[in-house]
Amino acid sequence: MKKKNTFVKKAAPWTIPLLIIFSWQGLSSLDLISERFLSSPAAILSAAYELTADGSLLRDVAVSLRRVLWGFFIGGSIGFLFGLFNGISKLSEALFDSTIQMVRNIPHLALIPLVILWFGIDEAAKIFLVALGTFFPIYINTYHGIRNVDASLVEMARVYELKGFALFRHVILPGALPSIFVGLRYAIGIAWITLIVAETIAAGSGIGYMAMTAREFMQLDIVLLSIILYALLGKLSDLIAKWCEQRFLRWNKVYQQ
Amino acid sequence: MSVKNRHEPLLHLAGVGKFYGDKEVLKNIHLRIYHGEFVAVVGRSGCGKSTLLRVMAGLESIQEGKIFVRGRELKERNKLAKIMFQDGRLLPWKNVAENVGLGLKKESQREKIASLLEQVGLREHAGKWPSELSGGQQQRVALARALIHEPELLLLDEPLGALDALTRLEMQDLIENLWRKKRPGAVLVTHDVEEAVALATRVILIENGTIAMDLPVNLPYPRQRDSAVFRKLEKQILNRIFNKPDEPVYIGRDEGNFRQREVAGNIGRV
Ligand SMILES: Nc1ncnc2c1ncn2[C@@H]1O[C@H](COP(=O)(O)OP(=O)(O)OP(=O)(O)O)[C@@H](O)[C@H]1O
Ligand SMILES: [Mg+2]
Repeated sequence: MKKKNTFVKKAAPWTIPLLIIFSWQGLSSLDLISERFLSSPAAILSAAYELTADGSLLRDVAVSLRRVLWGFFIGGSIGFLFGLFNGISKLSEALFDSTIQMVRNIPHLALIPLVILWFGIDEAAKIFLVALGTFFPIYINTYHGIRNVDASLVEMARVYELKGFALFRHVILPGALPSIFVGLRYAIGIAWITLIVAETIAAGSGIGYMAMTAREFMQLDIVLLSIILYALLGKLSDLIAKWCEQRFLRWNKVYQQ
Repeated sequence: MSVKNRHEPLLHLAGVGKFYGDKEVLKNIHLRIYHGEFVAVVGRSGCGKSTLLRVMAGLESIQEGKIFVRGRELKERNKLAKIMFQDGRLLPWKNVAENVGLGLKKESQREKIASLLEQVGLREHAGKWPSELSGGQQQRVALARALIHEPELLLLDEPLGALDALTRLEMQDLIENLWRKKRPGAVLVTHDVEEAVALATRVILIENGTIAMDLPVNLPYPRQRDSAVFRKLEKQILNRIFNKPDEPVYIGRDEGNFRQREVAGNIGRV
């Protein structure tokens, strides 16, 4: 009885997507959906196979992945450090916070023309944009996380002789971690969106470039493949972040299964 | 510890007054606590017990009077003191053993933690998160964390409030034994007058932020709770709390409690 229940629970979310794919394939096979409007799943799969075979798919995915990782790493680290210092030090906060909050109101994608003028369609342009997009959510959430660490726990820790780095490591950082993870997961979403936009507008390689060249040659299957690739990569990176979150926040009731 | 220090009070509150905004929470508190003294603090909810304890730990600024620790004026945190807070304050991201070992030096850690967890009856819970414990279990973790340091001044704010009667008795024994081993100064806030008389060498009643009664308890340990003297003392304190002034109980010891003597006027003999 119980076993059946868990099976149903696990299988349930997959039924509708599978149903859609099968009826999509069915309708395409019956020529009810025009090849020029939507390629069939089988066509997309074979396009994926061909591009994998000639190595271009892997190369483009690797290029996009590298841009996201670098941008995320650079923007995330800077955001984390600023959040950290502004959360801990009043002076640092007074110096930087209001400026950062002001700049935050500029949509970073509005900078694309400027960034192209500065960097061309070089790698640096994409990495810069992704970094800019991830900086703010990570900054804000780190800053607020540290600010909102329970002061009574900090007081307790001081009584028990924790100070300086030990206080930070054992009390402040873990206290801020739930909030930092919220920023992290949000930033991952922003990073991919930024990359998609940047690659679609101006790029010489990457998934977006793949999609734009395919569009020129009317290769609908490859366009669809690249959309699916973006979705899969975004989902995958969110899963990784979620896994980390669950691992590091095991102590939190919310994350205990 | 030099001989001279033995005669100096471990902690001396000289006319301490504490305000929260306009609200006077502690007034003109005079109190000397010596090594080996066990002071129980009783009083109604909101009378200022926790605040007094926090003042003793050096966690609150005071607006009047001075605090001396071994004769030296206290300016910041009281480093001789370990306080167990009324609200436990376990770190949710550390397991039970890590919480108890917080701030300990690495070497001695393991055995000490294990032995103390054994003593508070939580050995098999060592690896659990605080969120997985009951309220009373969390309280015992916080108690163990305070006791493990064997501080010279042990400050306990209602450490046994969430416990059942039997566990409570066990924990009282534990506190008594640990205190008798080294005889530090100890201050215990409690709502349980029996607990106060069972453990303390001296019971203090706080009313509206002042010391309304200061009563020595000169009974040998371990105390016979059903003995006539024990019950009589307990009754005296309860009567005073409920303001039934049928028995003369006010025995002030520290100077400056004059005002309270007048307040407690109809209680009679000083
Ligand atoms: N941070 C604060 N700000 C303002 N008022 C406070 C603060 N802390 C305590 N008080 C007030 O000071 C008074 C004494 O509080 P305290 O916590 O010392 O009482 P208590 O005797 O420990 O009570 P209980 O037995 O319920 O724990 C109360 O009236 C309370 O409202
Ligand atoms: Mg209290």
